[in-house]
Amino acid sequence: MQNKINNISKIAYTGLFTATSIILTRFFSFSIAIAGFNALRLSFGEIPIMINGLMLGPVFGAACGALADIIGYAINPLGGAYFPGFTLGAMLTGLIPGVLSRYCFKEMKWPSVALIIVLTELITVPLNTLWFSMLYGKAYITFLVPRVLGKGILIPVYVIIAKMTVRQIHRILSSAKH
Amino acid sequence: MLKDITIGQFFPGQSSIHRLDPRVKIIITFVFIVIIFFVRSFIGYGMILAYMALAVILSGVPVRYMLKGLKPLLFIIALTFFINIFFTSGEKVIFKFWFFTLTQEGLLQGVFMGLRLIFLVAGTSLLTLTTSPIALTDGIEHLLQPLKIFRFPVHELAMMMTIALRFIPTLLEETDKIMKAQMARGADFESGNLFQRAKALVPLLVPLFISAFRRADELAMAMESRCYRGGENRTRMKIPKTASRDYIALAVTFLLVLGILLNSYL
Repeated sequence: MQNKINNISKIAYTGLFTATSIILTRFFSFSIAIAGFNALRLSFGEIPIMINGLMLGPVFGAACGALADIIGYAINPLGGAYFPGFTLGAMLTGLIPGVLSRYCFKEMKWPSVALIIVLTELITVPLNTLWFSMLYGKAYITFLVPRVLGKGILIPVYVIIAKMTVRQIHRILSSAKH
Repeated sequence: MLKDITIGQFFPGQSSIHRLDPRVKIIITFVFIVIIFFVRSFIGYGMILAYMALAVILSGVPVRYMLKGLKPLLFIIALTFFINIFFTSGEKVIFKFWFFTLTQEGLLQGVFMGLRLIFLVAGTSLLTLTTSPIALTDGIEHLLQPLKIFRFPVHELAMMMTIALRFIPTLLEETDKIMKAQMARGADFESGNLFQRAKALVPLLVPLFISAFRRADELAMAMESRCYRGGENRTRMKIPKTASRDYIALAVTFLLVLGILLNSYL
């Protein structure tokens, strides 16, 4: 699919998926309260970045991730600090599915989508943990545990949404071709 | 659910910080983020505080407004402070109760981590408070220009940024519409456990992604039909210019960097 789309369309898709990721991360996340505080924020902002990587390859996937993090921070910092490490993590969220779908799993079947998403999370979660440890010192572990648990719950939903969206997009693209 | 959304936290003004070139502000913020990790003493944090106080006063952003921005982070700052206090090992024990041991080293580490976090948030949010998102993306595009030598697609990246910024309000509206449509069909987005709530979002997210894809398709067609061919030979209406205040800001930041490095390593 990646080679069938021209460059202008790739720019437009990446722009729109970046906007979708920003909306889901910055305005549409749900928080889990611990002791009355919003201690853990979960969102689906990673899915558009992954889908962009799966559809358009590693370069546009990485661009989508980086832009979503930078513009997202400019629009709504959610009370946090900007940290370039998280931009790198967001880039990898788009780059890894792009690399894997281009070179390893060319057929977008259920197991391959699941494996791509799990592998992406396996790389980005520890990396983001490193940034957390730089920012929060020893306290990072208290943020990591609920984060990993939350991700564990969300991954199946990520897989369902990514697979369904990619299938629909395939259909739209092939019907436009005929 | 999606009511009362404000896009950006830009605080309009005409202060000297507001009028700084966005490129300079981005560079200064990056330097600030990096240098804060080199602070090793309270004198260093004193320098950061003086620098921040000067920037906040010059920016005209009310201190109360800045502190309000720190409110969502209060829990994280408090947690960071207490965990670093009680779980940092050290030799000079101040207080011991059950498995909590408060050492002098732990206390210092807790205060350092808390201060680092507060200054990071305040420093980076000063950038977004005094720079509009459009000016910020413009600044990023200009800063990336030298990468063109390595065939880095700077113009394409800038175009993606512009598209993303332009379509955020449209897609927010679209999300609201889809949400209402699904709620009318009986979808429940706000009750149930974490997994049930996540699963309930599938009928919202898949149509949203498809809608974004269709919009992108239409946009690409519109761009192509207007003979869009990328950044080759394109000119700009507004070209950013650096003024003397930009050089002064850079010089003050350089002094801060020098002061912190000398204080930490000499």
